[in-house]
Amino acid sequence: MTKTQTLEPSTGMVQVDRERLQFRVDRRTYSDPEIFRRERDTVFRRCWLYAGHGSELLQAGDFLTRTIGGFDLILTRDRAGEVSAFYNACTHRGSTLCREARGNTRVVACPYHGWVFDLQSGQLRDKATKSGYPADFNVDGTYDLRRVARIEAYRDFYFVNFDAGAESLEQYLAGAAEYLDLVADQSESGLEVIAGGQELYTPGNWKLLVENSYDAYHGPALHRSYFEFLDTRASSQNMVATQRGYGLGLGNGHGAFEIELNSGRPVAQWIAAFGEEAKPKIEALKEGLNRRFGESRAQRIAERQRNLIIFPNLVINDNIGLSVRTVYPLGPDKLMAYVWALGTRNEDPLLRKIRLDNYLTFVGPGGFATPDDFEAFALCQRGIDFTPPSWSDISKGMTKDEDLLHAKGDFTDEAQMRGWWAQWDRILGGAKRIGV
Amino acid sequence: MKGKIKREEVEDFLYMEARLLDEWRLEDWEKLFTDDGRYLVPPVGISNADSADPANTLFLIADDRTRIHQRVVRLMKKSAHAEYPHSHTRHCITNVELRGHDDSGHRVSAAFTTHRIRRRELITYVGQLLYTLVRAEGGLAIREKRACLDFDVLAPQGGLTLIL
Repeated sequence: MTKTQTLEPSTGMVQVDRERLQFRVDRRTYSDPEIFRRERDTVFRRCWLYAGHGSELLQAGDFLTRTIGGFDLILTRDRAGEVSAFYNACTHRGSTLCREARGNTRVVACPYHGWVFDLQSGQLRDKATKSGYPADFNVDGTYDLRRVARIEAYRDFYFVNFDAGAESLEQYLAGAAEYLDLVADQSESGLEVIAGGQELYTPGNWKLLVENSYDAYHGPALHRSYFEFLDTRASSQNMVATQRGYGLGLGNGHGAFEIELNSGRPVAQWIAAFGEEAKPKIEALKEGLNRRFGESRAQRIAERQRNLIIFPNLVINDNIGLSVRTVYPLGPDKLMAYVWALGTRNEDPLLRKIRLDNYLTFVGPGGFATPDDFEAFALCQRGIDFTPPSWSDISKGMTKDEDLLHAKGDFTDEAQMRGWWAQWDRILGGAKRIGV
Repeated sequence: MKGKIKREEVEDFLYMEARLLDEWRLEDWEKLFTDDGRYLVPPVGISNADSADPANTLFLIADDRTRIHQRVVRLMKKSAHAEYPHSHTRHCITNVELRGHDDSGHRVSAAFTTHRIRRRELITYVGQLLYTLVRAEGGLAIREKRACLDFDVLAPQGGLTLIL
């Protein structure tokens, strides 16, 4: 490895100086339209992208529409229980087919010329419109709905890949699978997406949201007012001072940090602010985890908090609530994001209420913390766009010989962020394989 | 809930509330709520925003009286970065209708447009306000304020930092 590169190949826009322990990113990566175009054509065309959760498609015929990696998709579940992903455009002239966000149906009819498709198999069903076409029209399936090249699931989290030759999802996830397990193991009956997911649009380069999501360094400064709020309800302890934990790269650009913080979790850490009525319910959940996993792993699942990033754009915040976000660039300086709250299936109504309360106060767009994150994106974007070209520093906690994709440090360090950038740099630099 | 209420009185009350918000007199605004008062903003893009329950649906905001207070405390701090410096706002209320009353109070609906001007940008929030008002010493008080946004997605701010 040369002194100034991350990994081979490289764009030259991410620089590592192992003597000076300096890791820097050229700020044009946040503002240059050419970089934005290359990100769409490489990162979002070759990596596994989170598309939805199994709980959103429970019954045969359930469908939902969503824009993933810049493509309008229909996700459906068929009678055999399999989930498929189709492009949401008629094979005739390209009109959007499904206009509802979700629903249950056997067939979908194009509003333009009335072509009808079976939404479970994707097959063109309609015969009425076929006069004037040859007898063997569509026997080869040319006019069936176009399928996304790959769709695979891990623990009920469904991912798509637009590259037919991509490695398997499980290989791709590498060390991140362990952290998805920690999230999914909270419930024996599985997790579910709670009604009220959000789709939002805001100024800022998409990578600012990614970085923010697994950056514990900014918490005490940017979110001071949030921690002051927490202090008013959590038995007068200082939340910032009691945090400890680590951050690490999980391979292939994925990363996480995990901390101990006594701020309460519906699964399964009771605090006085949740009320006495919730105490036995939460303790029973903890006992269930003990039985299933033994005390050590149960303690980790129940009482630690983790922020996980799965390269390039899936963020899972398993803290006082459980949230899942994806982010996508609409331009160098504009992002869109989906945000969902998850809970455990068949969750006790009181614990569900506590979960949503926790979620709202922090992660929600009207909460006491996330709006300040969005403000930071806007301020960074302004500073990057309206000052001369410069470098952003991501060196905190760097060590001389660290393996960039697997480095580990204190949770307030930036090891996990260096892993993400090293992978970004490889892929935009023209790497032949996505997996390392 | 006994006792007559007139639209004119309700309108005066809502205009006064709007002015307190525009003047960032949030400590005074907070006092308009009853001790069991709630301030709710249901998720956007749903069809039952008027009846959805924050106990089982992810709201944008679901403040009980304590959290209304905490929201006010936070918004008046310099460290509430998304509203520092405070944006300029104009809360406009129209289409005020009395919708009957029951044990919980008088039901009122109104249309709102709340403009937010900050850093060269104007954002307008549009929607319906649903109030439950009760008689209080010297006038009216808010038992519930539910602001139902007409948006289908959260744009362009991506969030909701001010009080609608």
